[in-house]
Amino acid sequence: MLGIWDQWNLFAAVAMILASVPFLIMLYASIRGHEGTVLCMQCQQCVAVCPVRAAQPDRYMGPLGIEVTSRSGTKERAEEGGLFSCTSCMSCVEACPRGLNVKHDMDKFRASLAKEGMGQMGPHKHIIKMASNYGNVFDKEPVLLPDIKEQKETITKFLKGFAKITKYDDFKIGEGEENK
Amino acid sequence: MTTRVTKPVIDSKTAKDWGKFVLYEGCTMPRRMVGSRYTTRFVLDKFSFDYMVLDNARCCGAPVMRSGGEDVSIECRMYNLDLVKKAGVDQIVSGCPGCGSQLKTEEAEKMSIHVYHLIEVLYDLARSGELYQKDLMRPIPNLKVTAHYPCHMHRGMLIDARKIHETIVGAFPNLEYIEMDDSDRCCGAGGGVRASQKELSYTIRKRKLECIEETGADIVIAACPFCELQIDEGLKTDSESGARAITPQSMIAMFFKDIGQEVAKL
Ligand code: SF4
Ligand code: SF4
Repeated sequence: MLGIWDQWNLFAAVAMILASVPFLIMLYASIRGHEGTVLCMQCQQCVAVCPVRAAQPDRYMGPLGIEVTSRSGTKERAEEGGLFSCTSCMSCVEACPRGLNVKHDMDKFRASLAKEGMGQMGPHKHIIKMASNYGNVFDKEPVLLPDIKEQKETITKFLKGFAKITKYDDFKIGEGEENK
Repeated sequence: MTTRVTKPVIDSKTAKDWGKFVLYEGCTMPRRMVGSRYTTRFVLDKFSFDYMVLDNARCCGAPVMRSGGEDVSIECRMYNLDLVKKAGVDQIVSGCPGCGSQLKTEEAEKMSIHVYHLIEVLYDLARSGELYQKDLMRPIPNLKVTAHYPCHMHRGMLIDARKIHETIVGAFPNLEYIEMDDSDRCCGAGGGVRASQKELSYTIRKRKLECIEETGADIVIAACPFCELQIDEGLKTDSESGARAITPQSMIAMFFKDIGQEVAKL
């Protein structure tokens, strides 16, 4: 039979262990870079505004799914649930009453999936390669910006097209021409 | 090195207040939406802004981050911030909110670099009464104008898109501003989704096109070259509205009487 002092010590030890659980979860999550996700109260405000969720209600896990999977670290679920389908629109960030930044957590989680060769599609790998090798995500050219003078033809076409909307029927490209 | 596309014409107080800045063009504008690239420089030149474009600027790193390349993305961001610092400038103006929100970070703050979106420059011109240049512009046609509020401008760079668009459009006579439903809803292009999952990206865009059609607008302002690309393409292929998506600087540039002559000189 434990004495009153021992009972108190046991109670204090159990209480301390229980009280430290949230801190340990927070510590674990922050080591993995997902500290914010612990605060999610699963209210689904973010889900209500997500455009990808609206487009793919049965396939896309949505912002709450991102929070849950990134907190638990279940990468397979995240891959299946379409982590790489998020458009990073931040509607969920704006809607979240706890001020969680799902986009930030999504970026971090995408990076950890990519390190294990998960989730990324061809275009994602291509974008990273292009930015690393050529300094831009479109053209396999040296890193300098293209010369604007060489783009005259495209600029001309663009302006002529737009002049139809502004109803400038007399719009012309050309030196000396009267552009009233 | 900056290529000025027209001589400074307007002695703008707003331009003086802004002082020197780096115009960060990103990837999309100089390589895919070159019309907007030209009109950006045209408007800044007309109003005598003191800006420079760094030829060796690279991708900001935002699409790389969305693609799972966190390390490369951070390298890209720091490369560009260092480049601006080395140029001795402490302000970046970005025509793309995706780039703007990627660069507008604690790192930039620590380096005392302030990052803005080009629309903030245009807004200041509108507020000071300088944006509408009656003598230098053609008659402004009667047009209905609506605007898509880009996610990374509205929620990323925390810019009050409604107020800014209303003020810019309101600066011109004969333009009627109509706010569309879901004006701040994603167009479907971001996050690497347009690049990797076209169908999903188009499904999301469908709602945007419906909202545009409901307004009956002639022009949809999209102050993001990537949103401009996505919405304008949708208006051409999946909509009967006849509207065009365009950046605000392109709309403004088009009003200038001599833009046709200036392009000819390129
Ligand atoms: S809105 Fe915030 S707290 Fe609510 S479920 Fe979504 S992430 Fe969690
Ligand atoms: S950022 Fe991603 S998860 Fe959040 S609302 Fe947008 S698409 Fe959905």
